[in-house]
Amino acid sequence: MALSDYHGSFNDGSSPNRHDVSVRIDLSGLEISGRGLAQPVVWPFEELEAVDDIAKQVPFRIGCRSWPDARLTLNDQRLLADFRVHAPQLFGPPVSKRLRNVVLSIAGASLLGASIWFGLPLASRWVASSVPIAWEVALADQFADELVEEFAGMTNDEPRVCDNPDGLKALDSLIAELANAGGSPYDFNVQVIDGGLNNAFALPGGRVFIFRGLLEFVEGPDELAAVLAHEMAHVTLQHGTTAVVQGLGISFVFSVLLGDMGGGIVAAAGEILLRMSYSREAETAADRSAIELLQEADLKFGGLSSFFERLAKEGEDLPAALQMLSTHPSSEERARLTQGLKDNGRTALSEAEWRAVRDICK
Amino acid sequence: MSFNDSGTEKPSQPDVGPATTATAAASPQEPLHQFAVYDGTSGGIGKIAVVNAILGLFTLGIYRFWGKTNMRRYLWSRVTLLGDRMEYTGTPMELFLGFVVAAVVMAGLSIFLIGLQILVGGDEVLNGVLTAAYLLVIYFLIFFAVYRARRYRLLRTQWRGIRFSQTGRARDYAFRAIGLLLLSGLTLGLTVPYMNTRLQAYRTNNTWFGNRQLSFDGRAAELFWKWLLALVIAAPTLGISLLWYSVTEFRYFASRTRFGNLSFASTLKTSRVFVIYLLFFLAFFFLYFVLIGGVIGVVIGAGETGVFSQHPDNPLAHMAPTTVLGMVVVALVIVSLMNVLQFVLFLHPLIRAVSETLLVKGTVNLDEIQQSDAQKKGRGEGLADVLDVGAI
Repeated sequence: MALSDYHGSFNDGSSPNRHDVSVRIDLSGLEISGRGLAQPVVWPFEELEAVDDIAKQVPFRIGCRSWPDARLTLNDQRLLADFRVHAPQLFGPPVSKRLRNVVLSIAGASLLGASIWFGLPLASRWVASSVPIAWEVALADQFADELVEEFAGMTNDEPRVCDNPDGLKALDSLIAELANAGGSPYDFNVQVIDGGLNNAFALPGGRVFIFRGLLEFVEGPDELAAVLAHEMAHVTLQHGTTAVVQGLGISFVFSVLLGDMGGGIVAAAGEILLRMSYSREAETAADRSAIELLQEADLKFGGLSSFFERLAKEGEDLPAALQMLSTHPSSEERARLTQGLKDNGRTALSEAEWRAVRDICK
Repeated sequence: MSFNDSGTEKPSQPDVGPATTATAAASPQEPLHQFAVYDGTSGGIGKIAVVNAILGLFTLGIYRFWGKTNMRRYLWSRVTLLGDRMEYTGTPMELFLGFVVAAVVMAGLSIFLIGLQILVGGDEVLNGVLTAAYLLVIYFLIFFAVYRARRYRLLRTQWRGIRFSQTGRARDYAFRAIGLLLLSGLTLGLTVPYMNTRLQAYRTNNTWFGNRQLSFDGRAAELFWKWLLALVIAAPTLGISLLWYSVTEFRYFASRTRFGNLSFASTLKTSRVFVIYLLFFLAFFFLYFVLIGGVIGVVIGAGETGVFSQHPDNPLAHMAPTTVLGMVVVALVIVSLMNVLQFVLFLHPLIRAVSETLLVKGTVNLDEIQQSDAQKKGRGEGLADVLDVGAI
């Protein structure tokens, strides 16, 4: 225990004046005295707090819990030996405690990440299921035209809706048949777009779009019925709505969590990741549901596999933008879905009806 | 420099006496002195920034409240006035709690706005009204958050144990700012100096050190022609004239700021700030394009494809999820590197440039200054963090 005096400067916490003081170390703490101080100030060791990194910085400042805002500035590193013994808190928490904190926070963050990864899809599905159908329709209407235009634009086509009356009649009866069989609460509205793209998509609320290119690609009405059933299943299972809710959730969670640490990019990437895993799942679910729907309507379901298998073969030569297969299950997976089922339903359309549908854009 | 630093020890001395030995000895006749000495190093800042980036990644961003606090403690303590260093007294927990509250508020607000938008549906007029209202709310929140965050930072900033504080209301500031912003829009930007001057006046006149207030008496008229010139030649100078205007405005604002009898002046040069910007952007673009521009481009590009389509033309869809995950990690690492870069190559040299060129003259009697009544309680700047306008 050194009883020598150290030199320092003192701010009393109520005025910015600087007092030259001498500091004496005794058994219980620091005794600070100087001409500017009416009486010596005593700071107990256990109440001392470091302002600076006292082990590395000279001069360094310390404070005292019972003297808020008062500061003692010292520049004599010989004091450190006494501080290490009597006021170890000035040197910060020990390494083991810091390490424990780091490990704990990483574990906490992993838990947080896991609950987002698994909880968000569940929550999204729940939210989507409680959204009124009218809202889904309103939501889809906001984007329908834009999307159709974008898809038609890929093959440089104008987004014209095909309206040959015979074709419409045949198509509508097929839709009605499938809708009645499935007992879906949705009002389906199928439109054929006069574009060369081999694709079809469904929007939340019941709107389904087919492109002329797909009508040219399918071999026979059974494949068309299968594609329609698949798209209708997306609507009934609320895949689009769930994806929207999930996308909003992810971008919110990540941009808030990461704040100004670059949340935007992570939100975008996280959304893609979750959406990819989600859409594979959704496609399988839509396939399963489509097969049930076709069976229920007493229609052949073999068109589903034959359509997607031919698509896979064609797809190899197509540019990525024109593929619709990317997130679909493999043909082996699909084969597993139909294993053990008898495909003894009717053909979806008569020869004349099928021709009318094919020529719906003429 | 004539802070009367003798204080209670030599009460007889008038308040023109030498302040610190350092500044007084420099040249007693010269009325202007350097106000602040900044001795941070890029190594010191870089080390904190790298640790923050790494731990930020591993904790899904939650570490940033601790990281920010460490960075501020470092930066504040590297600024010396009159021989004594500044001090940052904020704690990570205050920032964290502020964040939690702000996140809950923002979540509620977002859900409300999204629900409203879905309800409105395809109605174009209502949609337009809604979008305008949404923009107003966002801008209001941003200004509100910036002012609140400034208050938090001032209350956690001390010099010789005396804290700074901020009066005024964040709400008033935000309304004022939105009004001035709208005015600037209506006048095609001509009244930007007016907006900046009025807001600077509100901020400065509501800033206190202890029980003493700062004051600002700048007038936009003195900036107007410079702003006009900067606007006119903005295109041919590739925007550098706007930087010149910003620096000019900064110097003007400094010259119109007072604390008691202390007045300030800045000799900051546009060329110096320009070099800082240039080096930072060169490093930034080198990192961005040479290292992983492609990866980020693909990730962002794919993120923008429609969420509605069940068959998106998604180039990432052909890759295994692990590949995408890998790219996400790379993108995150790059974003973190950018953050580090921003501290080391931008903020650090900028603080140095500003502090080296900020001059002061006049006297202030330190005996007249007492501790601020403003209390330190409360949470910290959550909204500013959530809205990504937190700056340092």
